Amino acid sequence: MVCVLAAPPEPAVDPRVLEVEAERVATIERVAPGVIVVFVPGSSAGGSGVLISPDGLALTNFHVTGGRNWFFCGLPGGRMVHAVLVGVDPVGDLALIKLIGPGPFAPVRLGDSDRLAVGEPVMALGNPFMLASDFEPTVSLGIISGLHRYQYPSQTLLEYTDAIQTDAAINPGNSGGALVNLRGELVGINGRASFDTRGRVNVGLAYAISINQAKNFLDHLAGGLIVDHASLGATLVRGESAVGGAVVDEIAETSDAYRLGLRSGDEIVAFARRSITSVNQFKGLLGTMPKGWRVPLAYRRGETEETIHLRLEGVHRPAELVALTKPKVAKPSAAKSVPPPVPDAVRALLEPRDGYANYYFQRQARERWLNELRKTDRASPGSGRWKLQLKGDDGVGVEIALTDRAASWNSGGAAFVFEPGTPSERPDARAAALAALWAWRWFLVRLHRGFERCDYVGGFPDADGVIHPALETVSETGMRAMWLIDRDAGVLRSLEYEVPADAHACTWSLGDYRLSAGRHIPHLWELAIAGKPAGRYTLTAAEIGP
Amino acid sequence: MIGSSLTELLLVAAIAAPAIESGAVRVVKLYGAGGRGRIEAYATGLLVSPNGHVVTVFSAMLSTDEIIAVSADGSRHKAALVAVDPVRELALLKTDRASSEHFRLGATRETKPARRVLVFSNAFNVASGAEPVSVQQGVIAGRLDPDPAVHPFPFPVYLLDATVNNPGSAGGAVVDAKGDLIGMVGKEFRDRGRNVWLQYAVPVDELADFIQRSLRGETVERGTAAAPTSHPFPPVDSRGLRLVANILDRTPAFVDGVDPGSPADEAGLRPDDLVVHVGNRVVRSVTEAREALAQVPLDKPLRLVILRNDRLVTIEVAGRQRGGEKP
Repeated sequence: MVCVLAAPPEPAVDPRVLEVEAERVATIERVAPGVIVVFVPGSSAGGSGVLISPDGLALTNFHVTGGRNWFFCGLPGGRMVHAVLVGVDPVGDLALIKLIGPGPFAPVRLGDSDRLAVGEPVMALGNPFMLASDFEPTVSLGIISGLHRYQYPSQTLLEYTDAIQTDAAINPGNSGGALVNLRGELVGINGRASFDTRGRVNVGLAYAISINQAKNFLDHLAGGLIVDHASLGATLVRGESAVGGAVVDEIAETSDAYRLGLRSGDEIVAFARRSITSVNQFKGLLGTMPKGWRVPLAYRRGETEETIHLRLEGVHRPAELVALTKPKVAKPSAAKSVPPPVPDAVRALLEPRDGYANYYFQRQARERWLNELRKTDRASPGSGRWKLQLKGDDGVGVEIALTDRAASWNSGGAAFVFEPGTPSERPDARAAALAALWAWRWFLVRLHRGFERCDYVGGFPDADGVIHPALETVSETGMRAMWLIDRDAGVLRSLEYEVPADAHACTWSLGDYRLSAGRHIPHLWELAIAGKPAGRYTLTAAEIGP
Repeated sequence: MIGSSLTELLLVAAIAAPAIESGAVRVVKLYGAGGRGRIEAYATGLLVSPNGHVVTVFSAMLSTDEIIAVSADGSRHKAALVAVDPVRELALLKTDRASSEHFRLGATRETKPARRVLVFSNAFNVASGAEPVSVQQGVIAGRLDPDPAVHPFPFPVYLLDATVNNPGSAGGAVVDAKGDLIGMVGKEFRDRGRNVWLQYAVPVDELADFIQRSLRGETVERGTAAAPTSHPFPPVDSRGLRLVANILDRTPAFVDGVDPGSPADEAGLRPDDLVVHVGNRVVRSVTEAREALAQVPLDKPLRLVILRNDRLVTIEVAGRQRGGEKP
């Protein structure tokens, strides 16, 4: 028999407080199943991860993967499954893995980190000190302590240029785990903290990669790639004014920015549609982008302001980046930790190939998007002559004829012909535009079979900044083209055709698709040369194949 | 359920937003001497007047003529040291930047435990340019009265439940939900016996008292004679030289005070001089200075090399005659 002393009466609590507590508990219950533990096989290393899709894709830090390509993952509740590496972003410290096994996997919804405010409450979920034997995540509460924070890299990797800073307790083991807002939306991936002489324990300052940065890389990661980050090809210094904008100091003449006219002394006023007020801010923004993106940059020289659409360089040479991702040489004490053999379940989804994180997913992504393009035409387009009647915004009509051997542009009585393989005397804008149209037909008729190479290259922004999955083709003669595909409709959103040397890239943005005789045909054609708008046309008639 | 989430957000936002906005612009990032060992070259400061006065922790970082204060908008201003209180380890700086945004140290009331606070500081120098300083949340956990057995501060301190004393945090603002100043983050302090770091703030009343005294000219000014107030730090020896307290490991050997009329005084030694040589020996800390000084017999002359205003000066302190009479 238990004797219970009379308990003192419960203090009156504001019902709003109880409501808020209950809401927080409910949010954690909803989010926690999506936070996993990541174990590196054959070692005691590990960290956390966050499920982002119902079929088992999960984000974590690159430094948690330890250079390995398969893992054990613990799901809250105690279940353990295998996982395979999908893609890595070593510079930005991100990795995408895929859990293997029957679901259900409970993903965490992605939020919008641009809407965060300093002081906003956030929660960190993960497995600090790897203490959860049932894999239930530890939850800590804090606020946003700062935004757009910079943390120095280790040589060139693990550079956080636009991090979310929080005072929620984050310790070793939390890496790769979730930073969520009070709605339970994923706003960051926790990865670093300021440690001092007190050892590697939380002292109130920790940093997460923003989810918006992660979104910029997701398409690349999903394609099995090792992604490099963007660089301008120029160094910047503070401007003369008291606050100091960003002024170009030195610029590489081989950079696209230089080719398009940027010079030393120019002041950068806007980049990727955001105004630029300091060098730090520019570098922070640049650090959230993959190599190869084409983004607008506005600069001021004296009294004039110009906008260019430059293609961002990479931070590394490709071989350099691949070498940096290899597992580090094991310390003598860990020499006995030989990684266990790859399990069969993992083997089916793993195809190691130099230069890729996991070539299996490269192949999957390529097939997927080629299939999407095939599906948008009920029957494969014939390889006969195609004709397009376009009308420009100036009212002038253009008739375009496309065959395997040639493309012609007829407007106002004047005709212009492009023949692939014959070098133009002077590649000008019109030649580039017509060459691109010829390539458009060639690609849709043959898809990857029409080219020397066809690779899935990740997510790239169109002229409006919307990111689409992209294929890149290289012809036998070395002409490169990038094909951006609408991820929902499966139609071609834009094609960027690069002619070599001095000429500039030509982009056709395609919109207003309408179904006609079983085919999706774009009715809006917008031309840009080196990113600058060069013409807008609507389709008045079309004959496609057979 | 979305509504409740918004409720929490709105509740917290309503509390935090004005405090965060005002706190961020009333705090400055300070840069000065140091950057080696445990002496950080950066700290935080509080704007306390419309004329650009800044209160911060008195530390070795300020022992230079090149103190820079960086405002929230990224503008950089030279700051001059105008007053120090070596006992409470507070310093008052003056910048040339007028601003209507400053903390008001007027009427303050006792801050009780469990009060929610926000702490603004440039811990780890994360905000190195035009970026706003870092914000942390916490509560006042309690109040620690002066107790020489526990800590060297001759005033009560507020204890906090959050890790707010980090490199660079000293001089940071502790504010309540309305944005009113409750205290200032103090120097990093560790109880070496228990290896526990104290998370504390100097109460705003102490700051107000220091500023008032400074403006009345009552506190020690840089380069003048010894302070009239009594020192808790005893002289090293009968030469009349007093070194600062050895609070951090390897505290630099700053002269805290010089007894009037003593051999050290007559040799020209002044407060804030940094002792770098004792005889032929380089000394890098109070501990080393004490050891070196103990080696020189009191009746022998003592040669010191000190750093004053970035220049090295040799000081010859006469030996004490036996019986304590002047030579």
